[in-house]
Amino acid sequence: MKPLGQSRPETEIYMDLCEKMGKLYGEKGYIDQINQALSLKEQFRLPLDRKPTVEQVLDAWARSKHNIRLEELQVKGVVSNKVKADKLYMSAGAKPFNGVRAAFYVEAFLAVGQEMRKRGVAEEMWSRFTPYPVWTEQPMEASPADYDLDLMDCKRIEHKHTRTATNPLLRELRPDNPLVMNAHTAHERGLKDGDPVWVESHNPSTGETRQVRTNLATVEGIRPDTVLLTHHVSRPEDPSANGLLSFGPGFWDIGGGWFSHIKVKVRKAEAGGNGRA
Amino acid sequence: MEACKVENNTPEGTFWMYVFRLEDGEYPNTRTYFLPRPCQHCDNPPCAKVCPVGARYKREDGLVATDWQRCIGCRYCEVACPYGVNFFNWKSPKKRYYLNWQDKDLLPVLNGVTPGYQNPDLEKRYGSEQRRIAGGGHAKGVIEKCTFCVQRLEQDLQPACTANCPVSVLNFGDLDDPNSKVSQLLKQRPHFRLLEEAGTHPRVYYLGEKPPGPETRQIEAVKGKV
Repeated sequence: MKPLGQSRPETEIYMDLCEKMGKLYGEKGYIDQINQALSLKEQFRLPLDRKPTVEQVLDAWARSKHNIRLEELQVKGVVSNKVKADKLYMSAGAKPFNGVRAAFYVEAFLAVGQEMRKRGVAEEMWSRFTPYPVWTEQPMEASPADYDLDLMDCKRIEHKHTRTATNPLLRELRPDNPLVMNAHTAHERGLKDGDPVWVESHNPSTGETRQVRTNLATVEGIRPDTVLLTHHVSRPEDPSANGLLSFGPGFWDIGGGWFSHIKVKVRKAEAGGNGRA
Repeated sequence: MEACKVENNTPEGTFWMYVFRLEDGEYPNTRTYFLPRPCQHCDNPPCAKVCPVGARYKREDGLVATDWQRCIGCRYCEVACPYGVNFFNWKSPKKRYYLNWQDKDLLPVLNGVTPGYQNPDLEKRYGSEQRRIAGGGHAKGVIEKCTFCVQRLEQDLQPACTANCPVSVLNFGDLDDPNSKVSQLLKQRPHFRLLEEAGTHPRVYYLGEKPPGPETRQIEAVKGKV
């Protein structure tokens, strides 16, 4: 983020904005919201008439939640507490029938769909909100037959997603982002480990194609009908699985996500260079 | 690999500790596994035998050390070693390898201060011989390799790779002490050493049934001077 090294904590920016908008102080102001959002105990609540520093906010949280001062926490690094498994792992909220049965009919989806319809959303969108589960053909199944490989994305062990992709030390361990393919599949297609390749995806809704250029890495430990390309890249022009995904109609689901399952075809590229078409 | 690099400030492309990603078998009966390869600190080190100036030598405690002040850069050790753990410094690490501190975007932030990290312990003398064996500043024209972090051992610390392994795969200790953890592990578990047939008597043991064989492939190699 520019200017380099001068970015500010987001909470500080929000407080400045709220102050200018007259929404920082007093009841229901932003400071009050912080007190509630962090569930601060009464004695650690931030005064509603003074703008705190970010350190003061974190200190109040550390004292209230973990009974430790911020500066102690910064030295210690971690706080450990015993947590019961049902607190740690996400549950599906209130469990109907004491968790003995899973809800099959979700009225909330029906309500959302009806509301969308009322507000004039396209039928293609609202009709997907059904209270019962409905089988939907995966959009990639409509791609031409030569898009015959499933594309899989994963997190590389060397990286913490794209967050570490610009770390020079970690980039040394994983400087490139190869397309991983089963060795036999590669052999059948006249490809070998290290070959430059074009990976092409297809959007059956629009006919649009997307291409990414990278090098091939062949392994035995991947399904013959599947290829792997990660998204850990540090520059926009680097090859990334993201460059192959399609968005928009046909590629979303009612869970708020989208169908990122796509099919690709792979062909040998001329030597030299990586990136996206 | 990273703990080693940070502790020993090794230049870009140099991995005193290298982790091989290996694969056996054919789909679907495949096995992927990892093999860390530091210097094997052999009891019969061919690298020390060929060193014409005694820069490479075996210490009493078992470490195979390199006196970077004595080394003349002939690279005989590199040829003699069957494990490929020697790295020759073709140039001086004058500039920082990983960041350009003169970058115009960085200069105003640094305000004249260069934060380049250099471990001062690497320059010191170690052991009863008081020789410079911890890598120093990676001078041009000398050979270097894993020291088992001698600068840490002499402070009763574990080597950086061992201390930082998140899954405690690496163990370091005294094999001459039958009660040490490493001796106990070798008593309890099947183990092997790399290229035992070479007669080098490596002091690095791998817990496991069998070493990688001719059918083993390296996959997704890290591009260093391996």
